[in-house]
Amino acid sequence: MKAHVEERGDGVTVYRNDPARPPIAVEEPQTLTPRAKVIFALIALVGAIAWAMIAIVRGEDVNAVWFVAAAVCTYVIAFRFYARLIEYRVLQPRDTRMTPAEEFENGKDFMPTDRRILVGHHFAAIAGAGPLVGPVLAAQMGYLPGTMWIIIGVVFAGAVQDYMVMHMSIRRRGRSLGQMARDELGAVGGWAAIVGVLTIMIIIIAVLGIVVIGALAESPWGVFSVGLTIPIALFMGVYLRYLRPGAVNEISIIGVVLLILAILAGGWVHNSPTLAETFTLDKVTLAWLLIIYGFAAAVLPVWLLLAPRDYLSTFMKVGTIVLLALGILISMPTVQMPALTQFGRDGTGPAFAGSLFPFLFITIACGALSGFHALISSGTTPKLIEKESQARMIGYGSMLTESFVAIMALVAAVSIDQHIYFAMNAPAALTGGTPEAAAEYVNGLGLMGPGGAALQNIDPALLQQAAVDVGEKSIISRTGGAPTLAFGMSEVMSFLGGSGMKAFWYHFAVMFEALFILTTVDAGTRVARFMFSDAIGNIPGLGRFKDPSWRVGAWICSLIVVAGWGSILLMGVKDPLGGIYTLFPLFGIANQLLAAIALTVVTAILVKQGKLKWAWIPGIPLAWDLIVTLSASYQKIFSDVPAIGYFANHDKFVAARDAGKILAPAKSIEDMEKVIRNTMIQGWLSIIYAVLVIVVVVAALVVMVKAARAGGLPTSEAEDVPSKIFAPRGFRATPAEQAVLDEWAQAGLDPTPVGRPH
Amino acid sequence: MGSGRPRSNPGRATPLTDATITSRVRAAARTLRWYVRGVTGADAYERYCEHLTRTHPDEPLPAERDFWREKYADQERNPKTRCC
Repeated sequence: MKAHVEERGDGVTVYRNDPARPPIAVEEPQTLTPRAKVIFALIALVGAIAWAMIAIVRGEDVNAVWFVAAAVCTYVIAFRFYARLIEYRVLQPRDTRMTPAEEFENGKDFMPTDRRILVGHHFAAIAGAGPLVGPVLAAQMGYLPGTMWIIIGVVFAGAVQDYMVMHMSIRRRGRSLGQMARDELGAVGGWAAIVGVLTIMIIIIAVLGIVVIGALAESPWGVFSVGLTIPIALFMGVYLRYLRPGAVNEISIIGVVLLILAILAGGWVHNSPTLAETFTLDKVTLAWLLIIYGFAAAVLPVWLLLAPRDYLSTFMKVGTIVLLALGILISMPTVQMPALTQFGRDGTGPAFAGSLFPFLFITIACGALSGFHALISSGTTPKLIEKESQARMIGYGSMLTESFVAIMALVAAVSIDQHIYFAMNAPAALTGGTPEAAAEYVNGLGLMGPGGAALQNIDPALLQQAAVDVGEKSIISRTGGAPTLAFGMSEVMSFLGGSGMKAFWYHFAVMFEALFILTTVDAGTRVARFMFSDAIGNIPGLGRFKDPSWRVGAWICSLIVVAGWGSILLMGVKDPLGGIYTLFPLFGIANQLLAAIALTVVTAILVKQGKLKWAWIPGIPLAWDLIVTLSASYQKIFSDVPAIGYFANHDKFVAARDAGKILAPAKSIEDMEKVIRNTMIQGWLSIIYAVLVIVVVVAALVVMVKAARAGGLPTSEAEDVPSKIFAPRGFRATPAEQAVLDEWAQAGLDPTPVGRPH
Repeated sequence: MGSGRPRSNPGRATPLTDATITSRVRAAARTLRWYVRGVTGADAYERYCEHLTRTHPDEPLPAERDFWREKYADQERNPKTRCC
């Protein structure tokens, strides 16, 4: 069916699918007005000055506001120019087509949704604990490498992936990434992608579990207040089911108030000797509690625990991000970390092992490029979007916001005292665990200020006082990133309530990270169980597993999934080197490999569509991502350096055990056995991930070569169904779009069934 | 009750009397409510009813309680992932 085209002067074209009704699409010229040119030139100039201040001028006092300016200006320019290039030249959205939301509208999961609401919805779905943790760990290498990767990475890799996957899923009736991989790359590539997603989910849950345990171990305040989130969520669930169904925001506000009370109550627990004793739990106990909780949460009904906690975490997420942004802008902290530390040069940092390349780029995954987003961008959001052209604002735009969250986390981490940062992030095997030993350790690091001057040695009392200020017994070796971020946030937020409020803000930050992570543990276990039961349902005789309402099957599969991540979690918390140090790289590799799968699918589709000359747009981030992840995997598998290579470490400990020796950090022969077993498992996980991705990429290359030779191949793109609705593409309607909206109003019609923008 | 964004006044310059300030504050509050309810999904029932009356006017509307039960049951059958 051919659309009716009408030229409106000034290069504006409007389209109608039904000549009797108002237009359903507007196309405008890409040229900028003189005023817009001046504005963008000014933004570019401010951005350039900010970049110069942080990258070249540096000096003794670098203010954190420059980071915010460099990030925001770069985002604006990238969104206006690079994202638009992708839109006009590569993806070429057609608003005359129906989106899945319009075509299959059922009032539930398929439903056209106002673009401004959808942007919030999509952002809430992609933002989690990842962008807050990775940058904090990467800060050990200095502020500059992390900042550059977060900002440049999002512009050329992360946002491109999210945007392109979203567009392609819209064109394929909202299919998921796994389904698209199967359709476009054939059975082998599709199968490898699904196994990849499943195993990656397991490792991600385990590592997030280690992060939350790192924040709660030996912290009665944290354990008590985070523990209270469970009864609060249960209460909310019962309220929504039996008392006032649908009163989501009402109960969420009640829930948030209860959460704040729980944080305050945690302070009393902390100060009461008997209660503090009861709620002081070690890592292994917490790991078992988390495993039991994860299983219970995954088999309990959604309405009772998952749904209410999800509402809470959405509120807390948005609230915390806004508070953090305000805090940074108001308190304008000065950066304490140099642009590049000695650990950035030699790769011997204590927070995670390995050199800047490739390990910085896998440590900061979310925030720059996160494969997990491809799972949200395909499937969920495409079923809600009104117009194809809105994917730029929703896909590319939301990812820019997530990158901004990562920048704020980095700023919070680099603006705390370096001694405190390293005392918190080095494993106990290095710091010794006591203030005296830790002070000796950090004083021996030879730390330097941003201007290159050696830092003065600290007194152990400083570390003890810092712990007292935030209501903790100790801040030494609180690895995992979450406690450091919480500490940074307590300093940034001290403009509100002064230093007396530090402990509150610290536990506020711990609480919201724990909420995020508990939701991911629960939801991730459910998704993994679903995928697992679907997969084993294909085995003859086990077909019943495919039925999701079969409770016994759901229990068995949940148990298997929980056993999977639970064993890695226990392995991590018992690891003498600290789980974060050894396992965080696997988490990053897993997430980045998922991104590689997503970018591969996207590139293959472009080549099949005969857009070979634009394949570089997803192709360059794909190549970069493959270089980073495969060389990191290679080092993790083949490096001779025990600190980096899993198998090298394995061999070292096996040789020592056989010689009857005990190597530090192990303290006993059991510790030795643990290290030997853990390194073997970690090494094999690295191999599995690398092989899966190579299979996907080879399958895609075969398809691409075939397609390039034939000058294009058919893809699984759905047929063009003419749209009947209209909505602007950006936040604000342009004058030409407003004119069309006015036509709808004059005709007495709603341009779209939901959301009446004015 | 419709689920669309509340209509605001056209941007005409009106003198700032107490009445116009109150009405503007009300309009802003309505917009905020519309937005928050949209993002958290609290408006799901209204939107479903609106959808049903528009596309299948003969079908009876579900009770709000039953709608939410069904919605969570759906979530149970089709789990959605959260990001890390």
